[in-house]
Amino acid sequence: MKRFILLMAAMLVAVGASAQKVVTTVNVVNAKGETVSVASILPKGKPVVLSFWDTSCKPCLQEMGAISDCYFDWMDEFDFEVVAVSTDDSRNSSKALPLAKGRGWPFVIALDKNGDFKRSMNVQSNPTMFILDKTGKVVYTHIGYTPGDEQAVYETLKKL
Amino acid sequence: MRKIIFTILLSAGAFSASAQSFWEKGYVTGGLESNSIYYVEDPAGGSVRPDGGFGTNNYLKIDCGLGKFEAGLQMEGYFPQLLGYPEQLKGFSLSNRYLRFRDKGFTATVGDFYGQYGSGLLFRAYEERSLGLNTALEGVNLGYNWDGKISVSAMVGFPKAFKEYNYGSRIIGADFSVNLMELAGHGDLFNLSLEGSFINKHQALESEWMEGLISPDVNGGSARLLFDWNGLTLKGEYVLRDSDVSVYNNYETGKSRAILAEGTYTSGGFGANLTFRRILNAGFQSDYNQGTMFTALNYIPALTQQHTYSLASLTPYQSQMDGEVGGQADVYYFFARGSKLGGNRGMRVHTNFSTFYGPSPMPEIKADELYFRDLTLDAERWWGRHVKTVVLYTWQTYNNRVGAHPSYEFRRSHTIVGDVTYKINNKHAVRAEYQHLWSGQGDGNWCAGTVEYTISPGWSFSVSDMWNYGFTRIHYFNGGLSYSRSKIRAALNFGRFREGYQCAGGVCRLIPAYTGANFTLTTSF
Repeated sequence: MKRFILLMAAMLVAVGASAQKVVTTVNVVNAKGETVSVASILPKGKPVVLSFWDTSCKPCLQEMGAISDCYFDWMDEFDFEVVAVSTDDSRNSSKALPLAKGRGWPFVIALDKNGDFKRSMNVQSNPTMFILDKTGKVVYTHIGYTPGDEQAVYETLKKL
Repeated sequence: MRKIIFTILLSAGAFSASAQSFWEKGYVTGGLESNSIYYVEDPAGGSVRPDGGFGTNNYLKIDCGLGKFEAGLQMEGYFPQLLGYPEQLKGFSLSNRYLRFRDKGFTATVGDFYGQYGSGLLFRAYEERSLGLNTALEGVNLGYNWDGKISVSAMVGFPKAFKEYNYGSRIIGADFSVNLMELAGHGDLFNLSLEGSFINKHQALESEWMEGLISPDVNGGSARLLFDWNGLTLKGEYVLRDSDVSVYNNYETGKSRAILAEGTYTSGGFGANLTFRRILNAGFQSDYNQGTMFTALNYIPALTQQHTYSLASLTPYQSQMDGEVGGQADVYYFFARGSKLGGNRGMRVHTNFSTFYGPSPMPEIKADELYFRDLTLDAERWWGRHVKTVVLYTWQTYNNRVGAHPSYEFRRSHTIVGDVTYKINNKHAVRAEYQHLWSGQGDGNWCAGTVEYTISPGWSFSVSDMWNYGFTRIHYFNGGLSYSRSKIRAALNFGRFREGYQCAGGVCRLIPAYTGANFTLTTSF
């Protein structure tokens, strides 16, 4: 039990730290099936919504659907891109792209089949969303999704 | 001593986080996850209350980078482990530590690492905390990627068995991938890649009687082909390996074979995929004395629809390592916004069909025996700006001979789900879900309902009940709340949970029935 309390204390220390970076040298698989570095899938010079999701995660599909519904309205106001990183392993990774297209998501899709990118970003559970500013710095992080959370995404993007 | 190391590392992490000069050149990042359950006595439903009535699984991971170097470690604490997790995990462990160098496509890792060759049929080392699973290797892993044209890697390491590394077993592996069109300078036309892998497991024999029966070396290889053109992707993989002769495969000596074929097509709002797989004697363990998922060297997931509604996933299928053949097909379609069927926000429809067969247990019957079949249809649509509905139907046939409690009986079920979300305004929403399952076998009929109220950003409150009114007449009630803010998520649930498989990816673990309060905390920094 003491160790448990120690871990809880560690968590509070951890939360005090910030300024997370995206490790862009990690490899992912792009929509063509090629293994590429994260740097090559992140658009340069504009804000990026970087979302970790998987095909069997209900809140993930809700979140991506909500962003998709707002996507073109937001694009009328400011430039940004959404990079949706599927963390599905080989059970469902072949479904990720058809699902994204078949749900009308106008996003860049990447596959992180063995969780290398997810681990490098310390993503504990899906969905986890990051917003990167034009320089690639993480300015917003959110774990989980509840209907209406897209409003905070909109407000953050609008400021960038 | 471990506590001292633990404290020093935390202090170092916190200090580094505040050191501005360090942040300009490098980074420290990490995550912490804690999952605890307080178990209570409950005579209904065969609930189990472990000694002490408490379990907690905790993970602290810290990574840092400076220039071309990265380093990290992970600490795990099971004080004790949650019900259903193996006893061997109990206690504290420094489970992963590594030092990595990356430069111009070259990667070298010393320490503990994960990896996967192809789809994982031949080799996969990975972590899945929800199952208590961590099959990292400890050793050296080298890789080189030449501008996406050629990729090669090689490794040597010792496999992890529960929370310790097994230095009596050594794994050697190599993998390559050649993108032929990129190499020819025509990568813009289409993508054609050839890939291959090799794996060797060496484990000294413990007894003389094993000689001639069990080989100290198990060798295997795979060949893969990838073609991608204009939304059409075709993949093929063939694996041939020595049998991993052991108790768990009944000392089967025949070669292990696997073939996997996948095709996907996407265009506009349409997406489809088709998968076929045949496996034979596919189990591969890092230790011939073991036979569990915690010591597996490869990954053979069930290729079926992974359901998220509770009644649709009462009896999830698991791959049969001895041998099976089958596949699945998915079709997704998006009725565009503004169309007659799509309405203001479009309508999403999906169907999946999956089926798997295996050898009949009766030699006189030559035909393969049905193991599992599932036909699922679902649709999602907004009605105006406030109401969203999801409807789902699934028809499943499950052969109990491959279940947790084998019997010569098929369980056939029809399940419907209606899920309605009413978005009151930009902050408040309420969701109600009703499920019904009809079955003439097993526990018979079930129904389930959930009501969830959410306040954005972050708050969620829910109550649910799952009732088996066909046989046991037990209610599995549950209530919970969760809160998310930035990098923290906390959730508290209380309720009764039935015995069943907990699945992550394609691997499932049987969890005994229990009643209790579950507290989960996750954060990253």
